[in-house]
Amino acid sequence: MPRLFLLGIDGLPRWMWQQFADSGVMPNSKPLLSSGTLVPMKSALPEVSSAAWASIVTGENSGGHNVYGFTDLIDGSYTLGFTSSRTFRAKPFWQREGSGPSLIMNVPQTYPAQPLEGMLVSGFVALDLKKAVHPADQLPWLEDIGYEIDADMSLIETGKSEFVSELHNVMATRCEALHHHWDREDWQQIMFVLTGTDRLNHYLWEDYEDTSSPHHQPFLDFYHEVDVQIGRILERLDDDTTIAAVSDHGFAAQKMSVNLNCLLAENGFLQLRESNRPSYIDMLPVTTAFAMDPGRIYLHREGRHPGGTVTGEQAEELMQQLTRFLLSTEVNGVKIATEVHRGRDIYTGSFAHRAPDLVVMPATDVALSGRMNLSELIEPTAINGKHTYTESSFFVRGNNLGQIPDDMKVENVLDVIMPAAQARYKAA
Amino acid sequence: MSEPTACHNANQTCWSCPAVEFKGHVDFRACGQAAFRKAAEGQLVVECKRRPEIGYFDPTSITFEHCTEWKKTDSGYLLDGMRVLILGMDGYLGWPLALKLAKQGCKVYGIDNLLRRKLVADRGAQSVIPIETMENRVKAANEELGVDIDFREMDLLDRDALFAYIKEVQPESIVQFAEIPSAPYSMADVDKAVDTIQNNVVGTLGLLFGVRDHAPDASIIKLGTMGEYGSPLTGRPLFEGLFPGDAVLQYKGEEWSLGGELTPRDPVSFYHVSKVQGTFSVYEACKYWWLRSYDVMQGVIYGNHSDELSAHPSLATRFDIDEWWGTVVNRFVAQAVIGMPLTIYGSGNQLRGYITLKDAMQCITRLIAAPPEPGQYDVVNQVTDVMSVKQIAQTVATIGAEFGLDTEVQRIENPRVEAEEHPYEVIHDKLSENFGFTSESSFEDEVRGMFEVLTKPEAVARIKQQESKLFPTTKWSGETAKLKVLETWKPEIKDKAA
Repeated sequence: MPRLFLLGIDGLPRWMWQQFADSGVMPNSKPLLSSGTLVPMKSALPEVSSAAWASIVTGENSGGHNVYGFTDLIDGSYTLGFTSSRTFRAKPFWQREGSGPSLIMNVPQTYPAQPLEGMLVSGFVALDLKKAVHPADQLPWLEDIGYEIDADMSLIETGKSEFVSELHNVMATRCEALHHHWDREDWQQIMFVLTGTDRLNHYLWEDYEDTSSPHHQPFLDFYHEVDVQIGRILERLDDDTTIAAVSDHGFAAQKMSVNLNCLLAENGFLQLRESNRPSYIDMLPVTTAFAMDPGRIYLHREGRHPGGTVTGEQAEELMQQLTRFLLSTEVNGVKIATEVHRGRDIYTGSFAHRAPDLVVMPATDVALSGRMNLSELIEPTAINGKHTYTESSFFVRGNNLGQIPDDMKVENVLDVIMPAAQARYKAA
Repeated sequence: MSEPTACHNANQTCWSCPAVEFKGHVDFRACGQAAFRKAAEGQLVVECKRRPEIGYFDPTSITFEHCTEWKKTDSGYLLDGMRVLILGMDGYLGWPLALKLAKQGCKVYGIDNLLRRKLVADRGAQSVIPIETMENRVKAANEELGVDIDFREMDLLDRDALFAYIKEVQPESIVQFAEIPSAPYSMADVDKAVDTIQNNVVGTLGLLFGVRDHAPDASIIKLGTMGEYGSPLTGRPLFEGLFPGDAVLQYKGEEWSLGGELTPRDPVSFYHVSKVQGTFSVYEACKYWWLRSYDVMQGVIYGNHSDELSAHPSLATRFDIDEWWGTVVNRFVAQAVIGMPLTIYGSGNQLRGYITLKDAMQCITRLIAAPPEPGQYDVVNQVTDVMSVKQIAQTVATIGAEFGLDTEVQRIENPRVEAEEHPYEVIHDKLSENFGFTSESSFEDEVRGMFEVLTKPEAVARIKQQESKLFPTTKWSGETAKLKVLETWKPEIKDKAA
């Protein structure tokens, strides 16, 4: 029997989980939630899955684990790299001394799979299953059952029904893999993440809100199936196991996706040379600021970027200017931002120097992006649900728990579910 | 992040680089990933086979200029130690290209079944400039130029061997020169026509499967010919393989865009038919399998020198002059050297595009240095001059006079089926505008250089040994009657000083 079972349900809002438990959409969740504590949790800044999951499994914010988003510029260059286990610089709990045999499945940011005592199957982004499995001798079994890291997003172009069907298939296979490997060994801790919920929310949020939509019931059915899987997991656990269930961010409707780089370019902060496929390498030295997904703003700093020209003396005034600009800007008559944070105020740790200078919190209904394709300020997209900073889920039931802070954040999860081990790690 | 530089490919990105491996698309707005070739949208994700430490990255965010694997050379940025596989390395073009690329720092691999040597010998002809065996050539390249070239005697049609070699080499660029390159040979009889089609069409088709399965990121440089287009009597420009974006067809009062579509082909022999089939095979493979290719519509090639070939006599490339294997300029110079009239077909007003061997090698090298993007098929017209056959004869005779030669020109019955009076507007902008090509040799200088070599006694003797093979005998009609001489004259040689 594992000491800890940490279940991840990507993008499940706290309020929705409670509502679905109460309304019968997720019947197994009802007694579960009643048996422990469910509280709203704050996500990472910005509210992006890669950073949030990294915080959940390390207890650090982005300044400590070095994951600020799905992408980052490789130091001293304009190369847009994708964050991975190689750039993830803090130790997740399963790699710490004395953590015991662990079964870790589908946790984002763990690709390529790094050695551990136990077994790990990476979560997205992981485009090659062969590098996503440790130990490698478990790969053939996963290949045989048709294990997929993630649902094929392109199916949304075929239709929502096909897309949802794909989500079901991927979840079924993932759960089959969980139980198969669970049976193989006496694991001390298991972490298992379901990610289909996030994909569903992104593309079918409008159908969730519109009860007359033909896809409304399929939306609920998917959550019902998630609950069935929760029930199946709970059947295998008893009171000796600490059960925690978390999501990495909340969710809400998205009505408009605004490209921050387009906005910066239109207002003289960003200038690109001509290019068929514009990217960061195309920024001209006159550029003073640029954005990266979802709401990260970087000053084009001398000494940090190869062609950067913004000096330390100019930075403060520029940040004030940008903050005023972002908070006052309206697109289609709608304010795009509610808050603009300074990176130096919100990040701590060995990699805080790599932080964005500003983090923009999007307004209601607005999503922000940092694409370098400057053709459209308002990006066309089939996505209609967006992440929120607030209202992710944190549930816990167990023994020897730490105190749940009033202002619960993703980086506090380990403090609550494994307080002693986390304290030892921090002290070390 | 810099101002534009002089190098034609400085701003090309890893998306064009054969050293990166496409991993998929990601749409971070929905936190999701999608499989290769399924997602229409999303961020491109690649890994670099040479720099795995970068991990997953956006290929458009590194340019050749900023990548440590790409080095600045005379041909633009070139992938350091780029592995280039030349099919048909023993040929007129294959060997000089091997030397040039090796000298530029490429790792050069090649195959050839030595068929050209056999076919020329079967014809009773020979290279006017003696050439070494491939074994000796490779050795000489090492001794004289300090380069290593890996050569395997292999038939393109031996697919097991070819695929194994591709798998072993993992080429980053593949140059397809391994074709039988003679229009009259393909028209001589049924066996030769079938051999041409079999070797060229089937060989190229098989190659494409090998690339798909074993080196899908390699750029394919496929040698085509300007003869694929024919010479449209309407005067329609010979665009570079594809119609320009604003091309429109008017029909029954309606307009239809032709932009991006393949332009019509009108081949002029079964050899040219084989080239057209090659074009379609490559075009389709790029579409079906996301292979990438430049299809090179090369003008009539001539000349015998390049910097590397000139380094030592044992490095020479072959130089054929007979009716089947010699191209027109090369044959005219040889005819002039032995006092044989320069034989013009029909009116002699046929216009064609031409390029020197040296310029052609520069073009191909520049194309190799600037690979297409995955799935991209593009065409270049590799031509520097457009001339009539009559003009060429006039110039050869004029330059021959500098060497004391008194040259006649002879119009003979045209053995081919072709238009003799036609407009001919060749569009050939891409190589100079997109690939930085500048001609390094002129027609007159190249002809002069050929006279210098071919007037040497040993060359004259080798020409005379095959004199009977210079006068055309192969009729497109299949008839065997001797071609009639229509007119013979001595071109007026203007006083050079005047």
